[in-house]
Amino acid sequence: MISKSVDFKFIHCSDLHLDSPFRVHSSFNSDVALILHDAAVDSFSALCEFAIDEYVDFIVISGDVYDGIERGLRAQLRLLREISKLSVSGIDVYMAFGNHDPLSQGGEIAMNWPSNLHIFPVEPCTFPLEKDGELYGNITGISYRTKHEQRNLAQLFPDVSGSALFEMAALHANVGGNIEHDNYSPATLEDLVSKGYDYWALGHIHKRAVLSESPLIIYPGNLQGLHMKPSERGPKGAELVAVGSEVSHRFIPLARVVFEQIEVDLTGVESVDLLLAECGEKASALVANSGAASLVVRVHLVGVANEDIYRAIDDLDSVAQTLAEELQLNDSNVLLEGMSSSVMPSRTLDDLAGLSDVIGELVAEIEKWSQSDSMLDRMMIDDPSKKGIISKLGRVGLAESLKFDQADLEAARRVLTTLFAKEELS
Amino acid sequence: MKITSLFIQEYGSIQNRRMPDSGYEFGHHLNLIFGPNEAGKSQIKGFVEDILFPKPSSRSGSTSKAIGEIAFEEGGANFLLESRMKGKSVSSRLVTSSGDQTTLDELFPALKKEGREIFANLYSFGLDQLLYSTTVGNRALSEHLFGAVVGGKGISISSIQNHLDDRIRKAVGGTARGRTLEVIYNDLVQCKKEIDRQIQLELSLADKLRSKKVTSELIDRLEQQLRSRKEQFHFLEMIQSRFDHYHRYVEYREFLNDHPKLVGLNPDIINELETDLIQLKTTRSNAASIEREMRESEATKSKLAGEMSGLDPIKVEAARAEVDDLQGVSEKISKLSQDIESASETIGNVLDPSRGRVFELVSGIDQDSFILDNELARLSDVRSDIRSLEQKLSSLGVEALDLRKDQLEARAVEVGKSLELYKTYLSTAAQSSKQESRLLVALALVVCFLGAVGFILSLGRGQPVEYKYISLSVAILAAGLLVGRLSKRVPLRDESQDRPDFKEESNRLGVQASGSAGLAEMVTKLDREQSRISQLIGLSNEWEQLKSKLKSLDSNLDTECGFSAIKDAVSNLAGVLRLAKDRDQQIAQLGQLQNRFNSGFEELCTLLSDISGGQLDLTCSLAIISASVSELVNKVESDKVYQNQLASLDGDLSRLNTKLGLARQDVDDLRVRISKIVHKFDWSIDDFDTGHLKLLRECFEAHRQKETFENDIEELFRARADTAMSLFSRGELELDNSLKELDEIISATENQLSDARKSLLEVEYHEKRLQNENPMIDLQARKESLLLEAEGLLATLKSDLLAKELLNAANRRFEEVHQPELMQLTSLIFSRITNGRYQLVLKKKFGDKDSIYVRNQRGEDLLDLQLSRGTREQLYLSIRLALITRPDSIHLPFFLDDVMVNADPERSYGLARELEYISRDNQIFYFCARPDSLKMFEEAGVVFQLYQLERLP
Repeated sequence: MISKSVDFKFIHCSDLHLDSPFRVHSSFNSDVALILHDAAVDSFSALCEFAIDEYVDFIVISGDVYDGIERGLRAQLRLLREISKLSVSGIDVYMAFGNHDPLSQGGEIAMNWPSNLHIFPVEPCTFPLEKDGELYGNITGISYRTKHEQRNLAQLFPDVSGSALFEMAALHANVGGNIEHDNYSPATLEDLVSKGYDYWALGHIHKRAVLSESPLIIYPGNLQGLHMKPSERGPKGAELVAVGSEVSHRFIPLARVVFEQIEVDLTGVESVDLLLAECGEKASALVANSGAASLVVRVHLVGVANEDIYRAIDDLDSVAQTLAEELQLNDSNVLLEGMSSSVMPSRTLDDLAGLSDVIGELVAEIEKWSQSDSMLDRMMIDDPSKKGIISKLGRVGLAESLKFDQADLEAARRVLTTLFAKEELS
Repeated sequence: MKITSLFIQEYGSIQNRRMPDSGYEFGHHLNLIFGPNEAGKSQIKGFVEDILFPKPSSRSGSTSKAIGEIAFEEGGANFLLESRMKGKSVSSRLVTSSGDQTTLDELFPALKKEGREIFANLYSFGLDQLLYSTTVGNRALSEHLFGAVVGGKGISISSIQNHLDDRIRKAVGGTARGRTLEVIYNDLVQCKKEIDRQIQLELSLADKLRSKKVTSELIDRLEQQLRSRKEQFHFLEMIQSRFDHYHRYVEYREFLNDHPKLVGLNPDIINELETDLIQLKTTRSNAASIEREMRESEATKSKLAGEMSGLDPIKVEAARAEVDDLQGVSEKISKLSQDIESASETIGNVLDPSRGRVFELVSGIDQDSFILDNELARLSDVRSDIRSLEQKLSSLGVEALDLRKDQLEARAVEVGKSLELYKTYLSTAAQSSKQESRLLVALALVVCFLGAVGFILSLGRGQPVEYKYISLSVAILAAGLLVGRLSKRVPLRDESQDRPDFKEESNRLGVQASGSAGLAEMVTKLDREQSRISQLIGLSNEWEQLKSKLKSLDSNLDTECGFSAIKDAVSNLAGVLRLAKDRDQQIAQLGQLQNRFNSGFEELCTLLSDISGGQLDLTCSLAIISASVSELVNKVESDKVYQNQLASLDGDLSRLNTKLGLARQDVDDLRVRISKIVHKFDWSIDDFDTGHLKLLRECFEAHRQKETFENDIEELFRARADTAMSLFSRGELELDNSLKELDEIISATENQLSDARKSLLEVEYHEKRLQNENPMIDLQARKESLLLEAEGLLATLKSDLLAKELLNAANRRFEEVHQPELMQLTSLIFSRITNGRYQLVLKKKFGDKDSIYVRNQRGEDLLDLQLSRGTREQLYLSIRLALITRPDSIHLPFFLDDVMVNADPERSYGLARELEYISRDNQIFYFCARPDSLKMFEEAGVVFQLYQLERLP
């Protein structure tokens, strides 16, 4: 319970990644790239518009405003434009920088930011929150100096326990050691709670999470999903917080484009037409619920497929192409980004053992490999072109993709099962 | 089988050799047969092969024969295999120690088929045979090697492997859109370069954006400076542009100072003076011109008066008319004379010969009058004949001889033929008719008679009444027929009526009757037509004769009498006579014309004599007189022109005189006016000229310019007029320098401004562009997309490669476990011989063929052919050793011909030990020639039994 004399509203957002590239298969569907082109900045514009419409008092951005340390010029200009608009409406903006846009490495233009923008420096800094000349709170924040911030920055925050004012903290950090994100500025929930702030405006984790209701410790998630990873899927937006006699908060979906994965179980599906119909239905249902301007979907096929279906999805690109066209026909706002499959054939290698005495050995071999990662670690891709392309690919950001893992082993098992099943039919 | 002894009675060059010596036996284990070359080692080996498994050729006696015996032990029993000559062939027998006979086939059923091949390849060999491996088709060995089932049951693993290879090739070959990893990598590199470039661009743009405000301020400052300097420049430029005026202003000011009297001059007066002066000059010039003209007119007048002839124009006209008339008459006379002369010549040439020819022709006619009379008489006869012929034709009903003679003759032949034919028919018909008639009559008589007899008989008793009637009827019928025939009522058949042209012919001739009557009528009509055609042919002949006669007569009359020539000659003569008559008339007309000419000429002479006052010479021809008269006519015409000109000149003179008076008056007036003005300036009218006038004008202009310049300065520079005048006074050079200096400053400022504006524009452009485009994000998105594409491709590649690896490993393991027993034994032996360097001997496919591979310590599988010769020899020795040590193998003695010469000492020892080991169960004969080999066996520490051979004699 916070007893303050002034009612106010603010928006908490983070991880705008304004100049972020979207990691999608644009080569598969050129429209996807077109839609995503402006999605991040458009989402931010939507946020500002919403803030003006809602008469919020301020906006706090908890880091990763930009995606890269070079800070795209366009993003900066767009930010300047939007903050100028907010300035006209008298909305202050409190901004911290995170691991993606650390202050010491930033290529930010020293432009004349409007006076309503307040940037947290690399040491904890507190700005007073005032309304009509009356101080009602403080906001303390810190920006990253460098990308790899390993200090527990939360500990640097001043202890405000006992303050009569509304105390807010803005921090870009991995609280609780989320393994899906880099462990920058690692902190624990206790670290935060112990400091006595009323609201911890966190950033860094892209999936929205309310870590604590009292005090409020919130990750609003990123404003706009960036790709198809689970943390990027689903509605994205910001947190609207209203402070009066009570503090209330709610999630506001603002992303212009929503990434979703549709999982389609092929067990019992008897034809490709039915498969496509199933995909279409699921996509339509998602569109109805998302509320986003556009929906970029990936279809992941699961289950156990009969022989015909299994053979058909062997050429997944063709199935995906057909589905993309059908989706476009039904709803131009739904775009198929790609299709993946972990469908298993109706019969396993064990089932096919009668086909050849070698299969028994094969099953044993796969089992042996699955027991030991060291065998997979020793596997190397022979350079097919004999031009050193494989090693070169390792140097352009694909080093991880060159390594063999259990997923590859599973895929190899599927390949072998498919081939033996085909051989049996032939 | 363990051979205990050999006796070679005869084989090759060996005769009567027993081995070992009597009383000894070969060892049951390892036997070393040591002997130099040419000691017969190979022959001993060959003897054993041939005696155990005789060659087919050996049985027929065509090659060397193995005569001798082998004693051996098998299954605890002793046997003797003898080979003896029987006649020319060799026979062998196998006897047991108890004297029973048996055969090798019974002892070793497995060798029943191809026993020799198996023995020679698997049990008895030297180095040459050792390498005679499966890969070159040693069937016996091949069967033993690969006969066992390998690979188990089921589908082809190689097919799956091929599928995987295809998939890997496809993955390597690229995505469904044909993009390979290499292409994607190149795109990535390119993309990264573009991103770097874009980053640099944005960094540079960011700098510019930061300096945007500074640039804008700089632009404002520069623009202000530029305006101020341009204004200054403009001021100086205007001053410079008036420097010429200023110089003139100074000159005029000085000029006015020199001519104080002229100050305040009215420009109208100058204009008036100038006008008057010009007018005075013009008027003087006009007067002089008029005077000159008057003088010229006077001179012309006197000249014209002198040139007039004074002839009487009426008389000259009359003379000219007379001359014209006489010239017409003269031309007519001339023409008539020519015609008359021509006619006379023609008449003379034609008249006399024509007369002669007419006479000659007429005389000829007189002489031939008799012939003429005859010809005319003949002509009359011919005409008479023609009339007669016409009458004949008429009588024949022919209007004219329209048929040609040849057609008539053809028709006559045709009618003649028809006539002959129908006559023949007629005659034949008559004859037949006669015969038939006779027969009919006879038949009728017989029937009638029989009828009558019948009737008579029927009248008898007992005859039915029908007989009466029938016989009576027959008799009556026959009688009727007889009567009918006799009265010719019964027609006979006619053959002519069968002809197809008969009907056509009878129609043409109008024959109505039929049968023989018709035939007879046709013969008659044809006969008549033939006679008529004969007559026509006769007439036609006559007609041709008459035509010939008429033609002959016509020709005679013309050629014999010459009527045409006479007619032509007379016609010519008449023409000439008409010409002569016309000439006479022309001669009369010529006389009249000459008379008229003579009288006219006299008149003309009189007239001309009167005109010229007797000065003309009239004895000349009419042509000369005509020319003189023409000249006179011309003179008269000239006189008329002169008179007109004189009159005109008089008028002109009068007018010029008046004008001259007026001009002189104007000159006087002008002089008075000018003198009045110039007097003011102390100038005399006589001295006043254009120079004075120019001076007046300059003075006025100076005055005006001075005022203009002062006003200009005042107006232009107003507050700065003093500065301007000061600048003027400082001089033009200094101003030039100032202008240049200022120009440079302006230019530099402009450049600065232009750069600043350009920079600002660029920044604004990029700023604006960034609002709409985002190349960086596009590039990064492209990069991400490429990475995803490569990841996808790599994932496929990895899964396929892994699948291949797994399958290969499984297959290898399977093959290792399921190798044939022989291979497993071979692996053990070969591994021991090579001291573990090679661990496995495998049967695998090389292409489509079963082949032997060995796996080395590194796990690499090498094809046998990839091994060194020595190692390969050891491999195949191992295979053979394995073969004889199999539990189910036939334990035949093993004959080795120095097969270790290519092995290094270490492997030789290994081999020797292996042989010793195997010889525990299998008898081995090892042939060697070199002491080294012997030494090697000794050094290896193996147990063997040695047999030494001497070189054969």
